[in-house]
Amino acid sequence: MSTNMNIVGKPVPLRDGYEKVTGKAKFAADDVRNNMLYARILGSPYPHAIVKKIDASRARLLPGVQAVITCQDVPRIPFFPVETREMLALTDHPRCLGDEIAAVAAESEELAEEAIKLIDVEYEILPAVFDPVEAMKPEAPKIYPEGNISDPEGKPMIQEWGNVEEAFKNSAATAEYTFTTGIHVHTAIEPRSCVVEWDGKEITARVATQFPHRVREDLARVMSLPLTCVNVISDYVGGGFGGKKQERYPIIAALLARIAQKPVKLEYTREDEHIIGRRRYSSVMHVKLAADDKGNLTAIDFEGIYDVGAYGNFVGGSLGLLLSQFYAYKFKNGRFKVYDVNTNLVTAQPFRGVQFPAYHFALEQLMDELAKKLNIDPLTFRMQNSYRTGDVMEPFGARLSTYPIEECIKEAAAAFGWNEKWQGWNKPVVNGSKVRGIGVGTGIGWCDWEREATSAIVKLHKDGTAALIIGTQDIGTNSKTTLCQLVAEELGLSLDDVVIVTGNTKITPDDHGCCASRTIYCGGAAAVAAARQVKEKVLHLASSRLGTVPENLIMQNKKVFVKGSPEKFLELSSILHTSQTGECSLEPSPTVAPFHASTYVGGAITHIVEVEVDIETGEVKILKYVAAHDVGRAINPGVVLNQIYGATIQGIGYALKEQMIFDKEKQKYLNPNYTDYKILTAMDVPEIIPIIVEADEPGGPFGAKGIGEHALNCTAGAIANAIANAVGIRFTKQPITSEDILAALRNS
Amino acid sequence: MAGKKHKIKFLLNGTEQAMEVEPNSTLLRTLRDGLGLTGTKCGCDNGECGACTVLIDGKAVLSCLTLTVEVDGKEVTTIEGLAQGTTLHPVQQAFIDHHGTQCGFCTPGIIMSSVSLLNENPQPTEMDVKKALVGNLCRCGSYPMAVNAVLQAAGKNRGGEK
Repeated sequence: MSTNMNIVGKPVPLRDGYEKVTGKAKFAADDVRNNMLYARILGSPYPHAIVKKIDASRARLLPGVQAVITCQDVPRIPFFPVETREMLALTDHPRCLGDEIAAVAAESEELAEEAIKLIDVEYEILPAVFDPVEAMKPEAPKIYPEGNISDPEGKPMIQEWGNVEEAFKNSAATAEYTFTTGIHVHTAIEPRSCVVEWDGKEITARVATQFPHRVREDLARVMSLPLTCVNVISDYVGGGFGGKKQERYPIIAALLARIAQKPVKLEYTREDEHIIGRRRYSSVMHVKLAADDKGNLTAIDFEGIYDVGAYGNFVGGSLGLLLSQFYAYKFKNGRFKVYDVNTNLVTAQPFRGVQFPAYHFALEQLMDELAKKLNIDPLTFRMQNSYRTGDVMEPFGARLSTYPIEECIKEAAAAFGWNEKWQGWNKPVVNGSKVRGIGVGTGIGWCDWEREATSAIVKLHKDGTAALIIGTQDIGTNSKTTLCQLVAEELGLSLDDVVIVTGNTKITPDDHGCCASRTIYCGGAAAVAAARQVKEKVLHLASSRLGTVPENLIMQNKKVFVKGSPEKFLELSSILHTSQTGECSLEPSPTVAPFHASTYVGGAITHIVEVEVDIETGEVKILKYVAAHDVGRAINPGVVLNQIYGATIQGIGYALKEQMIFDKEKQKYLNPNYTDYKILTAMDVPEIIPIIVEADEPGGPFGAKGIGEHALNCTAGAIANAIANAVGIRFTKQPITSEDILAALRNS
Repeated sequence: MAGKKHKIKFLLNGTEQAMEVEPNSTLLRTLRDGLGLTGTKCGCDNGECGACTVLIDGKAVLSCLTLTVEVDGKEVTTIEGLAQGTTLHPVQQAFIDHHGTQCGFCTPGIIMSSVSLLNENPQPTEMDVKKALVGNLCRCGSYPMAVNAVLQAAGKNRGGEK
């Protein structure tokens, strides 16, 4: 690995740290406009209904109300979110609680709230279904005319290779369970919010979103405007985790702003966030694994049913089947059959790791069961069955790029003290009512999703300073800093000499959005490619004046030097001033491998955890958590550590605490708030030891891979294994609550 | 609903502030909507998340649960008022230097709770810091790095001996 880096690899302070610690960072809801109106949405009080009649005349007459829209008068133009079904701006067929049917804009929030109550609606209440297995049945209430399975023909997505039946028949050991996972909400601390202005010709929308360019497309489509007349600005986003993508609310605000001819602010409440925000797919997974007598995995048989909620689409469960990441171990034979099923619950869409955390919750537990039957320790079993760098992966034949799983396992084991702590299967450490157990989870995290859907512009100014203009979105991953580090390194500049322009669709090139751990790998590659092209242009301009070829030149400290002759140089400013271009800029068309190319790029993951279960209370205490991650190269170790900590902390919540509880009788959520939906606090965080494993990735910018989601993939599986090792009981339902543990202990 | 407005005076970030407020207006709404101090954030409006934390007479308080009329005669400090001119408060500087923040939305609240802690206890232990931050939720999970940043700032308070 090259070590002569000036900026890459250093935990430099955040570029926007000053703004964040002084309150100057402007989030969408911080925007204040003259004559601004406040909007509120009328959501359906029923999880499934038809709006028979809607009369907003009383609301329109309320003094201070300046715009009202209902499902009957919005444009009949659908928009097409990437990860949900097509939607109209408002619906006359609400399919979940809070489904948007009308909205108002008024001079104050209180007035808007009052006006909402004056809208008279006559509903025909329809039968509803809240369980994906029930929803699949032919007699289930139909949420969509063609049925509830999110496939036009009601078919599952299937991937099959080898001969699964034969493999199970010839196996030495098998393991099989049915796993379920619940409703896990993103619940970023910043509620969804936007401020939208209409000036008679153009829309300017400040939106808290991970996908500014996609939100622009939605607005343009529904408002019947060209893309040039819609600008989505998103300077700072207060966390997203997969939740803040494409939704109705910015469109609703835009429609209201166009009617009122005034800026409109629309903010979700915390309750809105939990009820009509988004959440992870919940699932029922029936999974079987087989291995031979030498401890080699021979087959996986997976049948999954994913609840994608009211508007989820095929991205739910089946997307994973298209990804090599899903096939984390060397399964010689495999069969995956997955249904995505709509229900009348809140819409599901990806949440940090899409469905991989649920998948590994199941897979890692079965890996342990098999290892136990074969009397192989869990690390050796995973070491033996994991792919290695350069391996061809089933079922797509993709060649795995750098994959230092051995290093991850070894370093995690050393940091954990594995050799001293691991006593063998079914040998928990018992101390009175406290029982300790150890668990492991390994896997692959992706980072090359939609790699080609990012490009960048680098401008080199006349004084040698630079601007990176890129459509990637920083939602708290601090890519504003890491992307600047990449450009500064490539151009030989100091970090202070590079600024980044992002979160502004009028200026930045199109980008798929901030998701899938893709920003540093995909966006970073585009940023470095753009910087390199600008540099080549400058070196070409300098070469004749320095009497040599460009290959003989280096750019450093705002100068161009002849290699080996530090006295021969030109100031960058003199080159740029005398060039015909003045400022150099280029937008590259990144020549990157498309999805499903022959190479698969992912980060290796190893988590090891020790828990202590109190068998009198069912309480689980995490004593030590080691999270080792291959990131290719850490562009900024401080940023990487925060990603590992953050996803691990969310993963602990996913494993042990977090679930929205829906009362089917009352047809209401019982915990749409932080008091009853518990996320971890500072006091709840155990000792976490993050380990950064580096092995330069050839396709990554300065060797980097993504990291954002990865730590969440294996957390719940590792913790479930530790609990099982402590108390000798398998817990197949996520989250594993103290109540579940206590009940199981009493029944055992 | 709006009632009779109350006249109040208080010290806001070192400057005397006289204003008329609705009796039902929360300090959070007054700061953000009335005074344009949007560094104080609204995450839940229900006293659950801590993003709206400010200092009243040096102590951390949830501004979403505080009526503005209650600060009459008191001293209110928001995130905008922590720095002395261009010199950041040591806690602010430590959050920059030690990556105490990710998305930054909860950061103002976390910093105000930390400053409140250091006002009372300039040499906190790690557990003291965790306890002081227990009311500040961070969905990004910046807690380990934030706690470290506060301890680093405390070290500087002790003359950099840490």
